[in-house]
Amino acid sequence: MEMFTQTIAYGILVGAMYGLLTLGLGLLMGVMKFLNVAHGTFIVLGGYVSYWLFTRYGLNPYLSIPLVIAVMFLVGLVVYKVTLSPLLKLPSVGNRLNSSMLITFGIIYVVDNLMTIFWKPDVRSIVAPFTGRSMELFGTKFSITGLCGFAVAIVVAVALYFVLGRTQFGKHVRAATQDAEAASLCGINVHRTYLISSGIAIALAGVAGVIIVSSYSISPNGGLRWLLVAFVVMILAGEGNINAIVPAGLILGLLEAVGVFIIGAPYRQVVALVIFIVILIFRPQGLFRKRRLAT
Amino acid sequence: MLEVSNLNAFYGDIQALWNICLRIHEGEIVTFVGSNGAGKSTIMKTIAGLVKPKDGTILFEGIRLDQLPAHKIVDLGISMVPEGRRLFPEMTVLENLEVGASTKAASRIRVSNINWTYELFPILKERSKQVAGTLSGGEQQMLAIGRALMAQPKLLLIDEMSLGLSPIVVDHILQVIQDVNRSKKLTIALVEQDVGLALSIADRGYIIEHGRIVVEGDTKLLQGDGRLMEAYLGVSLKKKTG
Amino acid sequence: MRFRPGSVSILAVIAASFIVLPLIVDFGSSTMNILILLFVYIILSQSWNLMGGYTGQINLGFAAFFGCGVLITHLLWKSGFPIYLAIVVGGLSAALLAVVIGLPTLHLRGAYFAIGTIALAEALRIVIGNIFPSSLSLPGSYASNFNVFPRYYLGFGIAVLTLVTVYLLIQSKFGLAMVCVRDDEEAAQVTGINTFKTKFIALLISAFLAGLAGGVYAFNRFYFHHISAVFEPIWTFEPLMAVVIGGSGTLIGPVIGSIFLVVLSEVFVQILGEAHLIIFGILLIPVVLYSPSGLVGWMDWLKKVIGGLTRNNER
Repeated sequence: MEMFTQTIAYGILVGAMYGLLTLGLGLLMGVMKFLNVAHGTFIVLGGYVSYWLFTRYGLNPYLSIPLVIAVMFLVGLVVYKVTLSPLLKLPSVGNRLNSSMLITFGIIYVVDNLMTIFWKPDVRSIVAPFTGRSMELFGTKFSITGLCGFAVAIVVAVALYFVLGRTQFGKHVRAATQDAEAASLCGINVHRTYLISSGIAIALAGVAGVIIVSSYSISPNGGLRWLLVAFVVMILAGEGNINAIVPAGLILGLLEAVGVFIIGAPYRQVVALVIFIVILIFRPQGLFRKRRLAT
Repeated sequence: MLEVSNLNAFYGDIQALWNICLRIHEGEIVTFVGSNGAGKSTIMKTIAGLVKPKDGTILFEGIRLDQLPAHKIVDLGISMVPEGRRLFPEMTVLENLEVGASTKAASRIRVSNINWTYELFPILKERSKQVAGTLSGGEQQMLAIGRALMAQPKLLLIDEMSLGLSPIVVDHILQVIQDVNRSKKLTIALVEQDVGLALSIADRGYIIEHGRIVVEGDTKLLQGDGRLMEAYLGVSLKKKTG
Repeated sequence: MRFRPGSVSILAVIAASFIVLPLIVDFGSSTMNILILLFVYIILSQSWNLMGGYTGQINLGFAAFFGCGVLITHLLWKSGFPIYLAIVVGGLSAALLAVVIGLPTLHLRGAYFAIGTIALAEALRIVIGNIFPSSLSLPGSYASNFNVFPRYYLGFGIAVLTLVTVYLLIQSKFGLAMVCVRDDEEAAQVTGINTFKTKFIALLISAFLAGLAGGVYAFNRFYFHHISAVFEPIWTFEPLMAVVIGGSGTLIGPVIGSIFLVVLSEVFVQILGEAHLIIFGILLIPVVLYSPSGLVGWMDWLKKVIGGLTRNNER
């Protein structure tokens, strides 16, 4: 029984992280209908920035988050300006989607290999005094890094909810998402809205990277694994439903933990992918049949 | 106030507007009428910046509009109520109005403008927390107009307002439009399918056919000339009362 | 695509040289290996092109079909089947896999099809990695009979087969259906095309060809340290890049792209080592943005420019 509650605890912590790492992907997809297959790559990049700050300057990874956000935000701006904004001139949305996949796919190759050159292909992780230690709460062990990751995920998700729901900028984003032309008729600079949204999306990926490099490890080619997780969570949440992403992540984390409990660890990723297939077949609109974008 | 000269506009390779020249004077209500597909909406969209002309110029208070992006044109004081209303379906009435005031100037007086809009269209206040997609046709049109007014425009463009609306609702909206025109000196340009309606509230009118302006004049003269109307619109005109 | 007499003779010359030259000139085993790999890429990229370039369905899990072909061919050959049969069965097994993968995913719109295929391919890779954790190799007797020529000509033959197949398909009514689905799936449905069937058949054919490519590859290798490596995404990504850079939706594009890919890989591996793929990423982006018909489009443009110049000279 204790093993089981341990499993649940683990599932919750991992699930929150899964949700966190999906936010950036979901934002880009929801707002601009771009599928950023390089999302995993940006997660890893954020992790490397944090790793570098840690090994060079001894900066606690959780404290490095604001810096990582700043850096990755700029990266996002550049990516949008150089590669994504030209796509907006394409005639159909389907066209844009396909092209966004191909372009971001090219970005994977550029950035992954730059990271390989810069940081060598080895696996890295942050080993700090708190790594590997755990705390006991309610009679169950929770890893410190897991708890921190959980906290960051919740804070970020709530912050995003408020930005999208309550700020003027958030309303600009939602308006541009629902009807870009009408938004420009209201005086909204849609391109600038998209630009900033891209910055935010990549910054979100970067934050997830910090959590991952502290709790697990990263390597230059390791982005794909996280991309797939994000895909599954995004589909569970339902397209464009940004508020449902962290809850969907939690569900995935729990299901995966229980699945591994039953089947065994080597098949961890298969559990996620099986869930994915089942959802695709039986409930492609996602688990939360809520309204489309954040309110 | 607004001067359009030799405007040529295309949708892809197809020419929609041919050498359009027109003027809109401050404080007046101007209407564009013509049959379906004549190009009336295209004129509006080009002025508002959604369509970029191939040649010609649009001058608004001395500033050239024709190469500016739509959101900058809103900044300069032109606001459009688009065809089909184009509300933000998943945002509430209040949010739609708030978004309407997205320019710097408009956002400063957002709250008072919202109150003013509620005075013009009380039903919107009642429904302020309701999601725009669930409103009735008339309510949506009122919201669309309210949203455009939030931008504090000097010139308001209204594209096909009466489509699908009952006469009572249309009357109410027309009243509001005329009110606003008189009290706030808001210049209005109206594209309308319903010719009688259009001529009843406008000062001047342009008849558009196949992307060209074919007649221009005071509405009193246009109204009186039944032959002209029949010839160009193929309808016999019933004067609107009230 | 009409074949003018000039093009046919050029093609004949090229084909002939591929057939005859290795018999006359000794290229050395590493060059032969590169050529065989080139054929594998041509088959893979052309078959991906069938789905992606002509039918508009971007399949990011293509490596599954290739890997399947490699694995089945290797296992069958090892247990005594004649290689040619093993390769065909490898192709068929990939087609069977396509049925399994295609049924749940082809209902999905663009993005989700891509996501679904890559997820399933990864799942397969992990499962295979767990079933075959240790290395796979052929018995020594196979090595002692090694002769590179059958492998070379088989690869060449299947590459030609692939090109011919795609060419015939595009010319047919089915080819028209594919392009309609690519350009506007809803419109295609409305005109009576069974879009699901079209996509499904395209997937099956492209999977079969990819499986054959896997067979050729398996024919040329004796040792696999981890067999799951042939299921890795890079076997989707490299053909994809070859297609996009070479010119998607054209017959010649994937061939040019594959040549480009192989040549550049050889050149840049010396300089950049593992990171040589960065070049392709850097090339891919401008191609997608500005020259969607890839190098083929470029060549057409060049032809127009040259044509314009020569016409001027003639005046």
